[in-house]
Amino acid sequence: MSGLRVLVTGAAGLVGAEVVARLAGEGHTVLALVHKRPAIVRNDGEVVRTVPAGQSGPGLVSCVAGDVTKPMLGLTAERYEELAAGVDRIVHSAATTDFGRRWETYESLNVDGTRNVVRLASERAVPLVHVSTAYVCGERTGRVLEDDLDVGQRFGTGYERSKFLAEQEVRAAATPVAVVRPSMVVGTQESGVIRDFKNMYVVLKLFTQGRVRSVPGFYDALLDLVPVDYVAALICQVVNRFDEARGLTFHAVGAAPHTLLDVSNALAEYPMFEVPHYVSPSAFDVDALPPDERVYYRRIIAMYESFFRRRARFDDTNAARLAPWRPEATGVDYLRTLLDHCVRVGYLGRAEAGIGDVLRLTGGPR
Amino acid sequence: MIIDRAELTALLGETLDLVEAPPGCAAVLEGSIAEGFGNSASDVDFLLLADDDHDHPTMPTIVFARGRRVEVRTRSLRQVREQADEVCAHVAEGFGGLPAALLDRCQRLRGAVVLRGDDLVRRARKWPLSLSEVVSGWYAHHSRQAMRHAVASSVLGEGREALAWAGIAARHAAKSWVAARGETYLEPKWLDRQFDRLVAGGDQEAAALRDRLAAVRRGTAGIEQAVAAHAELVADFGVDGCPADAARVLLGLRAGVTTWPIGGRLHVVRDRADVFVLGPSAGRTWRSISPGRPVAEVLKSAEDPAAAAGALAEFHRVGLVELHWRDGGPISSAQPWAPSEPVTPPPSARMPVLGLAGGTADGHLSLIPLPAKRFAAAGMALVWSNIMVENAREDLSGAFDGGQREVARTSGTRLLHHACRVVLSACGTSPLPPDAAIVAGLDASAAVPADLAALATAVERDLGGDGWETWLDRLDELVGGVRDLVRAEVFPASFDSAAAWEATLRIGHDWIRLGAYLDADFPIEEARDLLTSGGAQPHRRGGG
Repeated sequence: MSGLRVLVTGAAGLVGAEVVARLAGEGHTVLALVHKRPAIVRNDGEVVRTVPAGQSGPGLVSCVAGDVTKPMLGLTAERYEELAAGVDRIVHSAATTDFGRRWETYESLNVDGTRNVVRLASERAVPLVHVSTAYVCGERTGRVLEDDLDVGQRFGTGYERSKFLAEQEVRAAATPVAVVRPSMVVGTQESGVIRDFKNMYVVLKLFTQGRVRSVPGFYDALLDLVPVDYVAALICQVVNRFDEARGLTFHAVGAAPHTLLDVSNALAEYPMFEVPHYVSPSAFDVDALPPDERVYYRRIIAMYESFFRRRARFDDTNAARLAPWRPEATGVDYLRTLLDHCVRVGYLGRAEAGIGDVLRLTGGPR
Repeated sequence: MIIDRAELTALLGETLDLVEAPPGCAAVLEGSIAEGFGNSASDVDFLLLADDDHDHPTMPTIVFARGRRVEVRTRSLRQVREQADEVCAHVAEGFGGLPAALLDRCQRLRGAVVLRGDDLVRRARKWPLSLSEVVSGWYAHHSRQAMRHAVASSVLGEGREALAWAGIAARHAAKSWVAARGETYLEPKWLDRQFDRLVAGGDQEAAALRDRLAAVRRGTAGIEQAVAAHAELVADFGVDGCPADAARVLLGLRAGVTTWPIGGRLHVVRDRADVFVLGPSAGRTWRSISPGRPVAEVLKSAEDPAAAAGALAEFHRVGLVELHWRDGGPISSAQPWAPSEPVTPPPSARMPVLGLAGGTADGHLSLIPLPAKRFAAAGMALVWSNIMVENAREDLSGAFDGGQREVARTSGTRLLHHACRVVLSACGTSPLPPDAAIVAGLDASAAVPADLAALATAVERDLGGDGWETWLDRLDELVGGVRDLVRAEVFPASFDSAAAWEATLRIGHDWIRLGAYLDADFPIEEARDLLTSGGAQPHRRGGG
């Protein structure tokens, strides 16, 4: 299918930018809603060419500055009408994916923002593709189905809880919806290229520099890492084949989850990297850490610690049926691809000056 | 040719009377005599070509005819065609994977003197490639690699190796050059004669290059100048991509090599099979290795550049790192007739084999004399037994305080067994014998000093009697002996203080991490207890 008019929120984000570029490449007219960043940069660093809104057309991207946290996306009534007129699909990928934000930030951006976008879609009966996270499952263990949402789970982070609430808003929408739930979005399958080194990449930096030497976790805990190119491809497919996707949820997950043992073994392949210990959570005592390590732990690792003990396996039957291709890279081989890229561009294997620099990378609390 | 045609015909006739030749086969003389070289010691090499698709054995038959040693090989037409196809496939992917023996077989057939069966030989020689280009390209590849190796060795301060590699590079380059001019015989020893023939044909450039090759061979300049002179000559022979530029030598990671610190000592596992322990200085150098980083840069920032260079050279020799040429891939084996596998040094003869912090290096590195998996298992058992000695000692004290002789006997026996386990694990025994045989195990092990084994036997006997007032002192004496054997710095750390106990636990985590990588057998339940309790000792009364 081609020739749709698609509004993409969060268009400057890692996934959003890649979706925008791919949709335009397929011949759709893309309206890219951005908040602060005026430039839309693809995962490989290429800047997406944009045209003024008045000149938009098939295969072109026009940029609109807005704010999903505000009614009518922070636009004037006139601009709001212009934006909404004739839209065939909305892809809602605007969100903060940073960990360690205040709850108010998550609520405003991830929950209220979604509510505002749902309202726009519902008012016009526009099909909505909502980008969520596989970790709306919280700290559940075992097989997680794509249809599962509220099973009384406990959340490890405010981010997960906010995305859970956002999905509830989406499911209550008075318009057709489809939900895509990526797990941890990492570099491309072939080359490991990633535009932003956030979240788990920050943790890797602290591990490999030896700033954090032990974490409470299990060698058989599972991390699901999904290549960014697959996530974008799946979202575009849901846009294109919405009739098949409507009402469904799609786990955009890796070919197979990685154990923490995989991570430990992959890090050990690099002579310059330190490799952390995984210490049983019941035995872990943050106060017993050396002072420097304690600071890093409390300010950064604590935000991620529940991931070191989780054992969720995401079923992706729906995604397998619709996706144009499937991730194949698994285990230490894929981790090596990701780490090699980090080393190649100097992200890993190079010491940062101190915690301030690391915090800047996290986008976390200052 | 040193043998005339008539003599060859007679030799072939007599040879065919001595071997089973396929009916109607063609026959050629190949090798050095056929190429116009050879001497009185040279073998006569006949190749019989059968017009069939049989698999004839690779080994030659050796006969003696007319006072000469004759080697006879038989190949079917299918076999020689398959060899030719295989060479074509390798050439399409570059020359790196083309085995010397395979190219040699193809060249010899094409440089052979036909004695009978012209038509069959013509069919066998059909080939889409230029032999001259293939041999020249193949030698150029090996010359390039050898020259890069020379530059790398020079950067690493390995002067003798650098000169040796540079010499190989120059001779390979010369072989490439003469091959491009039709002198395709692979055997390196006839290089001078190949030059002579070109010179005799009026090639003045050949004369000049031959003289320069001889001059660099005799050269008396310093290492760097000599390497540079060789590189220049290699380039003049037409082999590019290997100037004497140290900045082009980069570090690369080798697949299957992993790093595991244990209590501050670095252990490097190769192919999940061999464990190398690094000395402190080599360990620092190891940590400075980053893929794509120039060797020269690593050395420049090292505290002791000479020591770092020596360590890097050793890491490369034993296959723990790769050296890469900027934009040129790994610097691979450059001796086509030599094995390309990394060197494996003899294992360390130190005893005990390991302590809490793993092995001990002599020099830059030492190979642990245990397979990796058993090393991890022995280390884990050592840590665990060390903790259990501590635990049993506490129990024993408690039993004495409470006047409980039978409790003391049980605790003392447990202490004895775990002390013996420490000794056997440290000496590399893995898996350990059962408790019933553990004390006898010390006696049976040649690695355990006889007086310590005798003391353990005596303690076991004492624990069987009723004179329990001596048990504590005797066990402490045994533990002291164990401590001496496995060196105080590594055993039993947990006896000393709370901080030392924490350090023991950290080392325990180091071993578990390595054990998990190797999927080693270690006391998993006990290890789990160790981790889930945070090292709490259930029988301890508190304090450090």
